[in-house]
Amino acid sequence: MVAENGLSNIMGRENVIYGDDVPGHYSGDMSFTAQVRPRAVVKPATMEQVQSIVKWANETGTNLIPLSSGPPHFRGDTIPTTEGTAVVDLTRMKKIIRVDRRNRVCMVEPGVTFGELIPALGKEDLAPLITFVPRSNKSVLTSFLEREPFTIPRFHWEAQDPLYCVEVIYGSGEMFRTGSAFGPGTLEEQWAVGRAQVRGMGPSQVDFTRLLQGAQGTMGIVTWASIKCRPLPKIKETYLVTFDKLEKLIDFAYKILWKKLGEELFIVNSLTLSAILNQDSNKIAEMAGNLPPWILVYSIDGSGLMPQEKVDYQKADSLELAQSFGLELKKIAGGAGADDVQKIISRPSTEPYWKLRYRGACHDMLFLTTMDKTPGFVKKMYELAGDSNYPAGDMGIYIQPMAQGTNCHIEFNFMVDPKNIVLEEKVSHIDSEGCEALAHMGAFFSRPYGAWAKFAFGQDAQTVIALRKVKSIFDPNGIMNPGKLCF
Amino acid sequence: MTLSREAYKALEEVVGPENISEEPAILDGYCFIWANEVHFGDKFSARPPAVVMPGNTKEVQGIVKVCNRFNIKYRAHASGWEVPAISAKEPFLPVDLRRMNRILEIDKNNKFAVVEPYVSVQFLLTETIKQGLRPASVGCGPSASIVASSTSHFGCGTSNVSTDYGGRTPLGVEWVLPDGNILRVGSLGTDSGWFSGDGPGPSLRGVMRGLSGPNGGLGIITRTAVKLTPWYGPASIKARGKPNLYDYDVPENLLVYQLIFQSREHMTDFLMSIVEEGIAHGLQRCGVAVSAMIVSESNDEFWDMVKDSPPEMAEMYKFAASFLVDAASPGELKYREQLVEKLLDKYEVMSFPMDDKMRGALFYNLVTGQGTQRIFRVSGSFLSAVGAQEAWDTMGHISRRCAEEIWAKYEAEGKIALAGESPWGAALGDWGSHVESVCVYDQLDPESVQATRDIIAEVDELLPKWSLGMGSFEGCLSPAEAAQKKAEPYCLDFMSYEKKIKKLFDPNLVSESTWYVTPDE
Amino acid sequence: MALKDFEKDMMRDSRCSYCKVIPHVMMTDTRFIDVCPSIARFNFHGFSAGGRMVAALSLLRERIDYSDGFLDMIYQCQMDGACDVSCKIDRDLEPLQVMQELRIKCVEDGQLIAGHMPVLEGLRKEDNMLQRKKADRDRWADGLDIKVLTGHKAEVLFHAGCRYSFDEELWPIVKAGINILKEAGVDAAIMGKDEACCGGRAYEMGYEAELVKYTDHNIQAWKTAGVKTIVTPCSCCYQTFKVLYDKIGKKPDIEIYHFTEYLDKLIKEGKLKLKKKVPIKVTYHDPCHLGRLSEPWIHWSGKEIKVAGQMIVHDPPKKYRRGAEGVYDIPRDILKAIPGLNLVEMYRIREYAWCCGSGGGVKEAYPEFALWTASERLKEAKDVGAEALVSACGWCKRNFTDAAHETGSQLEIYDIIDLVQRAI
Repeated sequence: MVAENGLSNIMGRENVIYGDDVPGHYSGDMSFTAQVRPRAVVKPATMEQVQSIVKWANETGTNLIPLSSGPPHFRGDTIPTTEGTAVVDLTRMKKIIRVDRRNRVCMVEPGVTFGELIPALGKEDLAPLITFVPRSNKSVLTSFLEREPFTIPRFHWEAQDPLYCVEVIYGSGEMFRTGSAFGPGTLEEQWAVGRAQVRGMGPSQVDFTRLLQGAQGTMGIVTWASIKCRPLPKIKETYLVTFDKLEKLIDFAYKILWKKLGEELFIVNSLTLSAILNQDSNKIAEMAGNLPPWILVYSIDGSGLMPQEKVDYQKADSLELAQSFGLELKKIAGGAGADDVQKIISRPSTEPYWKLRYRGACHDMLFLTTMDKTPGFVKKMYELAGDSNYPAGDMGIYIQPMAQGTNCHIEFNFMVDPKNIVLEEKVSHIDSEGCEALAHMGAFFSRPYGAWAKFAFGQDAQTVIALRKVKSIFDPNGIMNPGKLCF
Repeated sequence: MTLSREAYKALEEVVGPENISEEPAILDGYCFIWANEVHFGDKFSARPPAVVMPGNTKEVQGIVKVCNRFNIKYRAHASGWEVPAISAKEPFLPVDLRRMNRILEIDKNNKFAVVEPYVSVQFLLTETIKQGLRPASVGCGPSASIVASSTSHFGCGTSNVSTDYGGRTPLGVEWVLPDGNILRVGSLGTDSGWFSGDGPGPSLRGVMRGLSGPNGGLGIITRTAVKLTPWYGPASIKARGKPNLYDYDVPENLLVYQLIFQSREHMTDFLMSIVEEGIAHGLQRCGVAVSAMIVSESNDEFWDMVKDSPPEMAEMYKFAASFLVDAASPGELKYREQLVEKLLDKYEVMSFPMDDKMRGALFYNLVTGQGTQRIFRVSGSFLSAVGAQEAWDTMGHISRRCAEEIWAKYEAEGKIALAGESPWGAALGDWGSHVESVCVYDQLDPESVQATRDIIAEVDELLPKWSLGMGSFEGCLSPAEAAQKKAEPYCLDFMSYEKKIKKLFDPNLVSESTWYVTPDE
Repeated sequence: MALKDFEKDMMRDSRCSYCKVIPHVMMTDTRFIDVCPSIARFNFHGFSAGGRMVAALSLLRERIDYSDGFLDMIYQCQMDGACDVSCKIDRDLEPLQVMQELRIKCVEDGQLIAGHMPVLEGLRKEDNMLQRKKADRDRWADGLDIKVLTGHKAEVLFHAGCRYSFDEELWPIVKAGINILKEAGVDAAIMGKDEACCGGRAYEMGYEAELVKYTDHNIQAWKTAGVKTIVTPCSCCYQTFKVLYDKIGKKPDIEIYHFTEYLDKLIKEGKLKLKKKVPIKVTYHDPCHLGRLSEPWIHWSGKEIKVAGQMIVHDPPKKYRRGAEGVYDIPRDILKAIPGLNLVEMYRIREYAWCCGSGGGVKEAYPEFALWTASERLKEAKDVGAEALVSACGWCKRNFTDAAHETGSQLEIYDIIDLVQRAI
């Protein structure tokens, strides 16, 4: 109680939830992570409050988990692994601090969602780089702190993108700003001389932003981030390129990427495309049945000084390229309209969240690889599904080129009826055991949630040793989200 | 300083007798480099006790373990072409990575290459352009090491507008840690391949380097995968004609522009548009004098070209830049050419006339960085006291204030060459700009050397006060943390974290750290 | 000039490592980008021109003293000048001259290489570099009906050179050479037994006095004999007569031709016709002394001044030798004019050609290194698909032949005279 009083003193009683009053969605999510109820949920509104909480946590030996998005969560990274953990819910921190059209950057607090950011950027002739149909309450900041892919590989130069600088309260309680935001000067002084917090590296000889990305909140709590934006296109042309075999679309995608054509570029299977386009489970099934197995979604932006000319030549080049592969740039395929797809992927998901529409629940498995290896992984996943009697037709697949095509994110969405315990167990088995097979094939679980951590960290002891050294610097008492990753 | 016989024998057993030397004449080649006189007061810094040359990762590891055992400070270098590669106040064992010179893999589809440390920019470029790809170029020219610039030092270059800053191109990395253990960064650590440098979990690339690398102060990188970007030019670029003013054929699908602007702001506005349109392959901000240098055989010829230019011409050409537009198709070429014309019209920008020789030389310079090295020819040496990266407008503030409030008085006294408002700059991906303000000095002239020291000190002092940044490439080119200490009162404390990293990763403190950090006692 | 006069160059070395590789602008195949055999073989920075400039400065400043290691580092270098060409792409420095003066200083200070001593002894006694008897100098010409200048006058002096004169395996070349001139109607003679060494190779080893001695001797002998034109098949002699004699201020008032230059003249004058087919695929090796090193000497005397603050210029303006004006095209034109001959180029050619390995006293003192250097060139020739390697220098021919034998290479090694003779 003494400790709880400390929290209430910092936050105000109305911003702290304790014990049995803690809603269930903080205790468990769509992953297979065991449910553990947090001791408290606290909802700060300012960086100073966050810092006070972290200092309090160090004093009282309380573990903390930061969380910025609304439910349902999918990864297990925001579920406590130990009793007595307090969840720091940052969804109240909703300021869009700055939008800078000239430097194409915005600065946002963790609670800002894509739905909130899009209109704010639109006023300044900007658009965000957006993940694949995120849920409506998904935090923009956390998406990119966790290195989630976004749909336009041309803007994804490397893993850190589109994140630049962050302000963080480390697990030690110290406040820091990464990249060029570290100083000299306050933010206001920096802005006065044209600085825009667009350099995420540094300061100096350490990349502090990079040490926070993918950390699942184990190093500290980020209180704002500067994020790259893109010019708002004046013209948009979207196409669907379909084929029975994934390999051909991969080859086509490689060529598009080499020529640096287009904007949105990703590949989904028929179920995923259908699920984002339809609300009703039957309609999803129907469209999925009509669609070819694989769909590459590709768009061309008209932006800049000559938008129409930009579209025209890219369209011509894209058509020629597609023809050379025996492919077509379609506006309609299997009842799906390319323009409808464009509308969907330009904003967050409407309710219900698209992953939940088909069966009610969804478990994701995701990792990095290279595009040429994705057919092999797809084949393996179908085998694993078959071995577990999971209906392969209920599995969504999303392939997103990243780092301008140097690697790619591949994601399998196992859609299940949450009441079907048997099927849930089968998917759990695939999640925990199947990932071993995938890891042996070269799947890189760069974001190792839950059971994947075993394989991600099991092969190189030095990685674990090094990460623990880093952890000991930024979170010396180990209070930040213990039990995650290799900590 | 000499090595104990036991230590020498241990090192000899690792690399073989022909790859270790204690010969003083050889050792002096490992403590001599440009800018030594600025930092250490003499052309020679501390002579090392020996030099070793490993041929593979196992030998590198062996050397590092011996150094830990015998408490010998060591530092690796590849081309060795920077004072942080070669020099220190106190002796250390240089680890010359010249024998590790292979390209191990070029993955054409996924656009990356895996290289050993001695592979230079030009070496890799020569092979990758055959496959329609290219690595990031480096400002100091084509002889620079890919591994060193991308993982351990800095990494800006003329190509960065399309390749991104070199420091953002590493993928999987094989790293012999200061204690001799091997860390495989990214996907390499899970045997997945070289394609990603980040993860699992937080990225250890963040320990490996930040804006700059640790300059050898945190172990030895033995292999790196680097991201490549598309190259639409020919499979081979070869000069023709006679040395040293070779001619180059500019491919038809590459367009060279050299432009003059009315003001700093005018230049910034235009170049930012070029970057936002995403059409440039190479871009650099540099004075027209640099172009003249590139096409002049010698300083004498260069002086002959410019000496009678009226002063107002220097003022007129103060703000200049060159860039290279590429195109993957005829349609793209047509669009981009028209777009540039429209932009030139919109911003009322003047083109600087180029003959074929200059056009070719600029083309080659923008692709490879070759030619900018001629800055050494001007006075014998140079140093950039400022190397900053952030938004474009900030770079304008930096170059203006540095020129007006620091450089001007030294130029007026003739202590450094007239560089005027002519710093060197590059565009970094689609996010920012890099600028350098250079001291073109004569290493044989004590006053010129002292002026350079004074300029560096002033920059270190003033840049943080102006809230514009930290001097000496944010500490990368500052021995013994001099720039960092000057910036400390104005910045959040980042040094204590760096020192903790150093202490944890190099417990015996044998990875020589003059150009990195040293933990406090 | 003395070593000390180059101190500024040493100080201005920036450690860019350009001296180790061919000009970056010429790189097309990364297997063949090394241009300095010394550092390619021995790897330590000291074995590059840059490293030797540092060593020279160290010596001047008494940071180091002479040692076997130091001498090996200095002398395991063919003095081929490729480093100089590469350095001068972007710099106005004189690395080759620094290395030359360093060797002269070594010799002056009595720091001699064991492998050179018998050669120099032979030179001083018998006026040749092959440790053979002077009296045997003209044996190669036995049986040939050639004038000897001691008793006759002639338009052209054919100077065979030490290598061609005493290396019996090369006699067919030198015989063919003089016969070609005769058949073209050239009024040519030889000096016979009185032909003396040019002094060039000794100079490259650091023996400046020997160069001066043979310069004086030869110029006097030519004057006495009324020589107006010299033609030599030896690239080393050619470079010595044309460049080194001029360098030490004793430029002879004589037209100096390399044999290929004279052939080119004869062909253009219609006095020589290449008619017969020689159906081979060959690649041409540019001898260092015919190529980059034969660029005419540029005398300059003046001072360094500063303008625009600290920019270094010269008064009067100074021109640098950058390897541009060597003899590169003429041998190629001759080869291309041979019917049926297919000429393919290697990756390292012209001013950035890889050395044959024998120069600078390396063949004499470090034979294994000389052979290694040549064998690297043979690999390159094979890589471009050549059946034969052709050069225009006896020393190149000898070293390549030795290397081919050592390595079992199937490449034919020719002197250009061999092929011209077959085509006539």
